[in-house]
Amino acid sequence: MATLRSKPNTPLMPELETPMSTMTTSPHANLNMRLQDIPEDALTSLRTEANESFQKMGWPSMRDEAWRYTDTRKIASTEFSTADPGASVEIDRLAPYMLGQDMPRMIFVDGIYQPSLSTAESSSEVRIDRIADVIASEPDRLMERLAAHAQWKDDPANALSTMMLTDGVMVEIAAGADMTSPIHVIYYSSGGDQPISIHPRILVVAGDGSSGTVIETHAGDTDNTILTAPVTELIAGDNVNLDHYRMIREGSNTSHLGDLAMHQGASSEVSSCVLAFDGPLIRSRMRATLAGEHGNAILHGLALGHDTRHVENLLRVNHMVPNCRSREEFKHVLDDKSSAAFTGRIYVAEGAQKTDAVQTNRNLVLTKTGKAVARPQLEIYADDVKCTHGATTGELDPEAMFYLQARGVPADAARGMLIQAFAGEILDDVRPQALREQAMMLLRDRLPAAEHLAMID
Amino acid sequence: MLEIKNLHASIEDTPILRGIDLTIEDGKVHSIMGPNGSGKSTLAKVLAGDEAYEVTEGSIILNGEDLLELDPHERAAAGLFMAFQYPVEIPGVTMKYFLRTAINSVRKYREQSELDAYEFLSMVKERAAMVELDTDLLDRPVNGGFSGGEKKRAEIFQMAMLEPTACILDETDSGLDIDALRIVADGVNKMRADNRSFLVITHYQRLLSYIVPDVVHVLVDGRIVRTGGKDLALELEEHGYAPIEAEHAIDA
Repeated sequence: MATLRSKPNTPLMPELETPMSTMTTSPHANLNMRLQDIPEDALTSLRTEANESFQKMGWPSMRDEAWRYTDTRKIASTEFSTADPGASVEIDRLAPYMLGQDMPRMIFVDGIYQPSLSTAESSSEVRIDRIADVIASEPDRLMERLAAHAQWKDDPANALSTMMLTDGVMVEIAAGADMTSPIHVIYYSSGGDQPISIHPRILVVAGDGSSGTVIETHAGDTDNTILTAPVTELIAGDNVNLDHYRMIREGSNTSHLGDLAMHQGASSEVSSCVLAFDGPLIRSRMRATLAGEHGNAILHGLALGHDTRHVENLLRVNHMVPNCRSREEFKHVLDDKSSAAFTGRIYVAEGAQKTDAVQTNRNLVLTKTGKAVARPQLEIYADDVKCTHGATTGELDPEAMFYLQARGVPADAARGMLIQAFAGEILDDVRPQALREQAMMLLRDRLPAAEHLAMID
Repeated sequence: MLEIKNLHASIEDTPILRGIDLTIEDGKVHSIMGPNGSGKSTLAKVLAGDEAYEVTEGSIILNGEDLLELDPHERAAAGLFMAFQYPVEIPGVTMKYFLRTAINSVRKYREQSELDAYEFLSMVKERAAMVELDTDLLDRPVNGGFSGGEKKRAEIFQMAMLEPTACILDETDSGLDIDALRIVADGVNKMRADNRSFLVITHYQRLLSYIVPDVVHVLVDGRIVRTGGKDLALELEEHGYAPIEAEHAIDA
């Protein structure tokens, strides 16, 4: 761990530059056609602007600093279309992804809303709406909220999703209200013969003094070619308690390029946890902005790497005002030839004194062919702050392995136990019991010699 | 019965054990004493199967089974238990979860039925009482934040749970105050049985006042240079290891 106290106005790292000139050419031609197919509505000008941004950026090459660790060449050379509006699925197919029958849910298949499978209902205090309905009948509710915090101008995946934005889920919690149950939004994708792209969108607006929990699952069980680029915005007023989870269990040919933006008022505590279990390419950009004093931003992540999976977590926490706290903890378990990249920037604005920021990234690399990169970045313009970051990369502790084996635990089960322990530190903090148990079971299923391990009581 | 014959072992090509012969009959307690660096802990680790050491010659037979043919977990199942000098802390794995996995792995190997939650917990209660171990510790991570005494008591508790036939105690007395030492020794004495043998490795005579050995061996430079009764320990306490070391120094 390094503790840094910086002098004012001296950035410790140069501003991250995002050169836009290094784009690769790609078959974007059909994007204009797809855009034209969307009927005119309150978001038309937003989509047009996003299209212009995307066309300008294109899919970046790996020379682009922000995309240095994620290869988009395959995505860039694929022509994606919009899913069939008649896409549907039998509910049984969704069973493995659900969190019990009773948790209110909103379900999308290939990005298409499924009214017959969804159960969430609005109450006077917690409004749960399709974004399509809000665009059509109450577009003012989206003003200065939708696409206002998740930045699409500097991120092609977000720009693409913003230009294709037609639906999604809006959750609005009234001031002082508590959501009695988490809401679960499931984006299930199955695709077809043609590659499709889907653009999940979630907007959560939490009024002053409110609390709630939002869980997203992005799942698929086919090997059809799919690009998904979910964008979630969490806008919290003062004194809000909001938890957000993103469970990623994509199909074997689905590229997942996600974005998340948190914007927090005074004395708010907002957390987000990204659980990357399945999918060949999972990139999560997360940005938290602490805009009111005494805010607390918590970003957690766990990724399990198998085969040639690549996981990237790109984080930025903006401390804009004094007396805020942020905690980032990301863990990657890398097996086979999998790889992970972590970039975490802590930005402390001028005057944001008494900032307390801690960032950790721990990588457990199980094979000689697994790879991990960690890039902590501090950019600090205040002089009375405590910002620490720590990154570790290691293998399983041989002394712990021998101890477990000497007590009768076979080597592969010992390995499983130590992996479970490593990942468990993230899962223990998952508050909704149904999600925590599902994640524990998924983890257990992916461990060596699961049958030797005692069940967790 | 544990039979060690002509055992040679080295680490990174440096020989540490240079031909150890030692047979412990069932029900007997042997002690190995010796100065620092004589190979005492190496012997314990080699018996348990630590891969850091290479056995270059000799054999280790427990109840007719060749331990050198077995992996560490199979040796545990075959009846060997080594209490660590420095028990390893394992964050994130609770003591209870670890023990239940360990016991059921061992029982499966021994073709015994696995313990269900109730049987496991009643056994835990009974055996923890033997070493005055607070069962709340079992909900903590393995050895996590345990005091020195708690760690050693937890080792003896695990020994009681796994019901071995050959118990190796590697400097179990190190870092213990006199009260903790007495509790640990009492636990060991309660486990003495006709079908169970002990090898107590220690630098000091102190532990042997509580766990009284049948036979005492002195290890110098990887060889047993003297063997005697429990009085040999007292003699060493009085004169130290220097006279024996001088007598058996390896010629350069």
